[in-house]
Amino acid sequence: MPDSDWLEAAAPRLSRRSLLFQALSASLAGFAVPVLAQEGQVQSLGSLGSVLDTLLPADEFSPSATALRVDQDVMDFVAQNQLMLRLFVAALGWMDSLSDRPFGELPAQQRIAILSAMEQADYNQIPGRFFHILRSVAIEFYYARPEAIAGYPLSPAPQPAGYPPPWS
Amino acid sequence: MLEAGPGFDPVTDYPLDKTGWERRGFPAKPGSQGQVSYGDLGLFEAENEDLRAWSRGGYPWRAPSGQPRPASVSGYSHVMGVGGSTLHYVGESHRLHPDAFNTFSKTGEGVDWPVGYAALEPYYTLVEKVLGVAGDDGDGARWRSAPYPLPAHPLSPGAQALIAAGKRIGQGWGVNPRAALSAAYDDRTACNYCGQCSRGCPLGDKGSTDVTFLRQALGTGNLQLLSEATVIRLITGPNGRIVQLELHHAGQTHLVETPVVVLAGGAIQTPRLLLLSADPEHPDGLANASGQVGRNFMETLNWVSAGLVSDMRNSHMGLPADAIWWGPGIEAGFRLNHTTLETGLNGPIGYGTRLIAGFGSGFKQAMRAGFGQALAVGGIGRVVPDERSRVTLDPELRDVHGLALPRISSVLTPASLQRLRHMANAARAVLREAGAEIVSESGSASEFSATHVFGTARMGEDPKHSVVNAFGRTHDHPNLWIADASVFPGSGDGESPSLTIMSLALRTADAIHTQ
Ligand SMILES: Cc1cc2nc3c(=O)[nH]c(=O)nc-3n(C[C@H](O)[C@H](O)[C@H](O)COP(=O)(O)OP(=O)(O)OC[C@H]3O[C@@H](n4cnc5c(N)ncnc54)[C@H](O)[C@@H]3O)c2cc1C
Ligand code: SF4
Repeated sequence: MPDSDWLEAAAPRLSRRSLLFQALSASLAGFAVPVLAQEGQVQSLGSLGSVLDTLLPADEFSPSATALRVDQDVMDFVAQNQLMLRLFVAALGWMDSLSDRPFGELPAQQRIAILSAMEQADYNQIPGRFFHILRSVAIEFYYARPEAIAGYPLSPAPQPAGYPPPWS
Repeated sequence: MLEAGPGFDPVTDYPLDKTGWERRGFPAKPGSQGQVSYGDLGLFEAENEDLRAWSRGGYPWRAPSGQPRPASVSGYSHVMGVGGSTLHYVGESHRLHPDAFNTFSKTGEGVDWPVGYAALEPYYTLVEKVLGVAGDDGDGARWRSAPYPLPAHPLSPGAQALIAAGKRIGQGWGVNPRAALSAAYDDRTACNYCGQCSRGCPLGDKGSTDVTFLRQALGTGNLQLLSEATVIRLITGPNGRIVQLELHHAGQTHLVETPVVVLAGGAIQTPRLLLLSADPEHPDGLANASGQVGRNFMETLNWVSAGLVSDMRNSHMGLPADAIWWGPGIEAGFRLNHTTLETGLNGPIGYGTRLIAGFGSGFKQAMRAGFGQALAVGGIGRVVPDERSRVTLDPELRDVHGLALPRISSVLTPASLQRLRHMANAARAVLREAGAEIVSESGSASEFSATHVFGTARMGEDPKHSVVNAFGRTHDHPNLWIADASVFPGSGDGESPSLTIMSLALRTADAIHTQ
């Protein structure tokens, strides 16, 4: 079989993310990491929860990202890597500085507009790189939870039942 | 039998009944992932922009062209363990096309094999019986002396769409022979279509060698199997015979005497061990009077195009890789298969990180509406090795035993890249005919990623240009045999190799027995 990168699942996918933003490390060097976000024990990362809930809000089928504790998963992931931590601190700090109020206190429309701009931004700059890394990490943690797949033609796990035919 | 890696228990080691399954690949255990390093992988040239990897739902990062071609995250993808890479293989069970043994005579590319289809056919039949291959008997030129042991599996929604679309554009798609049980067989239960073969089959119905050949061999009481035992050197005696093996097991080094050695470490580790075993009599490594050990390395020439088909339902259900098109002929030298499940589009994370862009409530809705609509086509094609394609010993990097890592250099020739383009265009054509909007592609031009590797101890009649003879015996050492993919003189025309590796190995076993 050909393409097998997906097979490497979580750990290597996450390590690829580390590689992808190493080019940014020089621009991240100046960012001090606050006490609540030291490598190995991140307890709080500013507006992370609001950013996650703007990316993956609650709807009639499934809860929001923070309701499924994706914020904690992301913090645990970020805590493993100093460069990643610096990227998150720098980007979230920048997002909070865009207006007179932190990101989490902005109206929904404004939050969406900021994330849309980041989505289109240069991938080699902090806002663009942060958006795409966070989006993919968040999707991975969120959709790993069975509550997130309500409304999908999926069982919580492929076994023990499998998917015997008919399939139409 | 000495196996460097650990054993895997299908019931406890493949937790596909636990939530969060999509984040887990085939499990890693201590010692189950070999290390390699990479040398020259060629360049990703600007003229191959049309073969660049991209995806709508993934990172917008683009590998710069004109730069060295990187290895992908998985690179040389393999498992070290009892059963080797069949533990995570999908289980496509292909006989080589009869013409693929004569590639040079038929196309002027590569070399001919010293063995042909007719000599291997009885072994193909035997291997299919041991694995429990399910197929449909109309295999065309790949004539058979016996029917498949099991009937073909029902076709998944994705396979049905490709067969119908292929028919309209002259691609004759059909059933792909699979080492997965369509009915209970050999004390093993039937497949329940969980779609996760590459994560390890918890039912044990997939025909990996641990649950088939090795289980049966252990059952005879004649096989002694030692896992986590790494052979680090072969030691020669008079007349070039191998007299001892040096191995590491449980923190100690042991010397074991042996009358016969069958080396089956795969196309990377086999040449490495031969090179590591150099001694004053054999300064360039064992079995290497020809200088061919490690040379002629062939990677997997691969392509995947994936799209969304708005009227498709439940494409995540069924058996992975259940349909195949054997391609337009020997000149083209490739085949396509249905690869939706095997390429990981069987769960929402695959969709969200590759197929569907955006965020917010619109994204969540698009995910729900689009799930089950993915359709992917994969291609694998013939590779003819470039002069630079070879496995050598890394001059600096060492493993835990202090031994040089194998270093892979692999450069795609212009002919291989042209073949890749032909494969990509054929994959795109059938997907579009099936109504797909293509949103993600990847392939060998912009990244090295190899699941099938060959050629580094190739077989041939002439000891000047090959390492083993047609039965797998090394030309230089009367009691050293090789039984893995390193003996392949050619890659075939995209056929998956395990059935041929196993058939050649049984033929080697017969030859040893006769001798
Ligand atoms: C994701 C994926 C999907 C695949 N799908 C298919 C498919 O559908 N159909 C197909 O036919 N093929 C498939 N393949 C390819 C197939 O798995 C391999 O071609 C095949 O397993 C190679 O067999 P081998 O005997 O050459 O080597 P391996 O399978 O690599 O076995 C070599 C064994 O030797 C052991 N070893 C190595 N060095 C030493 C040492 N020094 N001492 C002791 N032990 C050692 C290793 O640990 C390993 O267990 C797939 C491969 C991958 C990665
Ligand atoms: S699809 Fe079938 S063969 Fe593959 S892992 Fe699931 S049960 Fe095993």
